[in-house]
Amino acid sequence: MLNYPPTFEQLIFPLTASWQLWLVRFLTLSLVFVTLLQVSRWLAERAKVWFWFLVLLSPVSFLLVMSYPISAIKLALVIFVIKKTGRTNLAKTAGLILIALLLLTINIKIIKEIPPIMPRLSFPVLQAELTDRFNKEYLLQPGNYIPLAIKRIAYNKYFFLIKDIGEETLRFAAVETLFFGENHPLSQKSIPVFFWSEFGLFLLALWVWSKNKKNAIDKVGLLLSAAVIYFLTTPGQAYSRHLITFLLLAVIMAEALPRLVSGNKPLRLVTYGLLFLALYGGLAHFVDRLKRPGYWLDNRPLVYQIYFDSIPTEKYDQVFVADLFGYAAEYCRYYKKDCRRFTFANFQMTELSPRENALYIGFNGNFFGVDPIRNFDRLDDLVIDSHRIGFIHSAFIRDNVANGYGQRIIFGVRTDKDETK
Amino acid sequence: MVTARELSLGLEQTRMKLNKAITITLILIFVGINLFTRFYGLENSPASLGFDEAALGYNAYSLSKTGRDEWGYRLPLSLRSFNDYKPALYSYLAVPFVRVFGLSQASTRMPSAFLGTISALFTLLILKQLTKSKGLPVIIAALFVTLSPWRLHFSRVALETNISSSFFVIMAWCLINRHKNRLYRLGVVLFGLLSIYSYHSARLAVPILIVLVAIDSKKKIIANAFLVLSILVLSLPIFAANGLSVMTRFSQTNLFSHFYPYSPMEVIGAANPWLSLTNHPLYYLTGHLFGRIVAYLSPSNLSVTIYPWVAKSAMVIIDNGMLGFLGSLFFIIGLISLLRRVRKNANLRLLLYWIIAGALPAALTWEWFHPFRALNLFPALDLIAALGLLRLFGKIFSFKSVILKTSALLGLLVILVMSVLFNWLNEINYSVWENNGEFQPGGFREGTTLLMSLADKYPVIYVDTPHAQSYIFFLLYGKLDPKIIQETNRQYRLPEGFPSSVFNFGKFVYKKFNWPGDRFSHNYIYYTQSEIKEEEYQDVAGTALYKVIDPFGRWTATIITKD
Repeated sequence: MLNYPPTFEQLIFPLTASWQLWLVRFLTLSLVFVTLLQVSRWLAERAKVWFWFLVLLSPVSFLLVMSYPISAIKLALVIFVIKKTGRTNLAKTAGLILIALLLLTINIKIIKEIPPIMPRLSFPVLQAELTDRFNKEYLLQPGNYIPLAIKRIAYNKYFFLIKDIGEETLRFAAVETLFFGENHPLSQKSIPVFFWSEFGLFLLALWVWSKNKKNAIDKVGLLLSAAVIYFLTTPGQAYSRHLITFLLLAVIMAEALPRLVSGNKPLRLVTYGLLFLALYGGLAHFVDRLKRPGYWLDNRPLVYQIYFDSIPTEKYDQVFVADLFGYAAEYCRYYKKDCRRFTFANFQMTELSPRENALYIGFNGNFFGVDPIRNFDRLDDLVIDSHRIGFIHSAFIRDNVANGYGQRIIFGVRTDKDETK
Repeated sequence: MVTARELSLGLEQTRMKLNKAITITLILIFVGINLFTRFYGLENSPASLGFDEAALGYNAYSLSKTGRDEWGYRLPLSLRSFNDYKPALYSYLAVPFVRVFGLSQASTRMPSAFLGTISALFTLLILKQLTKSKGLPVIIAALFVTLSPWRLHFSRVALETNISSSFFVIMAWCLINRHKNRLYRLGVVLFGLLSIYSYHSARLAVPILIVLVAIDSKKKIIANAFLVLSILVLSLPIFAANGLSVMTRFSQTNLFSHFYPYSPMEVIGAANPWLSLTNHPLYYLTGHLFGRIVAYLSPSNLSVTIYPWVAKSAMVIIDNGMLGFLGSLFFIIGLISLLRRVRKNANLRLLLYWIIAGALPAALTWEWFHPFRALNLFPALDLIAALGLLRLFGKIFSFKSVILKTSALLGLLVILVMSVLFNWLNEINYSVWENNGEFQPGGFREGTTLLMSLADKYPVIYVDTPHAQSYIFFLLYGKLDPKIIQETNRQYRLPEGFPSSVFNFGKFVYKKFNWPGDRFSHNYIYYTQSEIKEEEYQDVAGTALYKVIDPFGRWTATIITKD
């Protein structure tokens, strides 16, 4: 788990060696620590220790430090803006707009990924959706007649815009992602943000909060708004869209816990029971993560590690690397330093004539053709254009990281000429 | 009893107290709208009946004509149907509609639409009682939630779970009023039993709700115990009628066997999981169970997440989810309002017990979120969403600026109208496109009508269809005499004697379509859903080909006559 390869976010920094990766991790740790320290300052004295307990128990903190420096920077920026935001409504609105702009800029310009809310805001897309509806309903025979004027009340771009934004926002409130990552119903590729018993703590905390208005700290409202903005503007794995939510929930639970553990006996028993289960969940998940890191963590760095760190490539004149995820050049720089002999493109072997003394690295689909229906696993020699491609190395990768391309990474070279003669 | 002020809804500022005549008029309008949205176009939307709907409809027809179900059992409590032993109450309730309107898609669905409307009315009554408010906002909130996507969807399909849920709502209303007089307690027993006799989930949900309420009240223990005992004793006949098949079904779908050994196998390896210190099965099993209850409170599940097992079934509500996006947002607000006062108010606690009782039967099965099995709890979620909407009304009424107040109120009302209208339009026309799948196969309605008009002069009707249990569509759309199928089914009365889901009856013979061979035979009519090349039939003497076009304009089946 400690040796997990660098992520795309880490390679945004020009890393070329392992010690540099650890330096980035150390700097990320410092930044995350300062950020969490800042958040803990907003809490009551007795709640601080609970806050640290909850955030350190979560796998998110560990992963943030080990793999996601840009996310840590975004987190720090959001917390910094919230810290500096005044108490008036105008100041809060300005603060939230600034947060949205900062996040959009970082995601689009630096991480180069489109925020999930963006396609939802397009009027041409909404118009196309509406036209499709009208057409389908018109074609239905026998259909149910509704006057067009009535239909127009609900079938219009503005309502669809509100609906789409509302729906995307509601994805934010997915308790499965936040509390049931250990046994997620869709086997979502993500890590648990909190453990399942902590949902019980969260409900108890909500109850405490609803009873006592006094303990409502001023920053919670801002944190909630920032969490929604962060979720809507951040692409990526489910948990990574919930980094602010993670802090928000930890704050809500931490602030309530001192009251819960000093409540009446049944309440104390339930609270300690849930805390024990949370601790056990932390242990169970730690063991699980140790045994199968590839199941929980992003697999794509593993793909590049296999690409560049499995076999020596020096003896080949050219190395063709199938770049399905768009970061091959950065990984090559990290693992190989000199990448002049490398070509990064999503090649299709069935349409190429293999070159002599060239190494081809890619997924099954790069050699045998893409099959979007099934994740095929094939490792027989390939005869192309009267040449034979022999496979000198292969590795199996779990989960379907390259959809339609299979789950086997193959290293192929041209072995003979005119095999068919 | 809690008041609107105690609920912190802020409605005391509305000044919209209504007199009795206006209230009655508004309630009549409320019922009228609910009735219209459920009954309008019921024959055409959804475009086709599902297998189970058809079975309920045809058994109603069979019961009305012969007093026996399709298997020839006299006045059964449970319909053997496709060997799945459906509770028979739905079919009995459909008998008057089938008698009056004839056997059709609409008459089959009418009990669901009617009881869906009754359920809406009782939801309004419960909401009025929870809030102790007689103002217009309560009626608007109730109207909004009773026109939610799930209410419209399940009321427009013939499903036992919807009528069970409707009886459950009436029972809950009686339960809230049980201390007033004996009649309400009788109502608890009567409607609790009707719910139990309608659908399997209620057999757990009804006793659990009453037991939780009884434990909570801590008084009148004998009266409450009597309620529980009466229901348990009086529900024994339905357990006796199909308890075994329900247990068999449960053994196939339960959470405990599906996920065994609960701990991740890759982590525990070949070791005995129960001896694992770090990844003990009990930890994971408890998480599974807890998560399956919590899933019904997840706003994303209630609005946008469509699970694969839901997408392929009659439960799916296209582009909307159970509560819709607006309903789910109000649900979040309502849940917070509820938590604020739940400790001090027994009726609000009843909503929480309602959620537990409604979710638990579904939570014991392997699917994470299964609305069909948990439909008894959704009215409680509606009530919470209505509390959320009322909280919002209260907030708007508290604005000091008249302009701000008026514009916020108008804005909210406009969005409510758009949302409700969208739910309805989406249900009655658009979702037909997505819903017609394996469970509501198109073409049988159109095909059977044509088939029966041609079939008189042929001694045999050959049928070639990939759909198992398709016989029920020919029976229903052809309005075939129940005696024909009862005669056939008598041969298979023992469960082990049931050869497959496809069997011949009357003139209907199931046979794979084979034109190269069949073209030389004579005097038959063929209904086939196999792919046909028209040119192969054009020059064959005595042959006629009729295309069956489904509501989407697709050529879905072919009828071939050979003289």
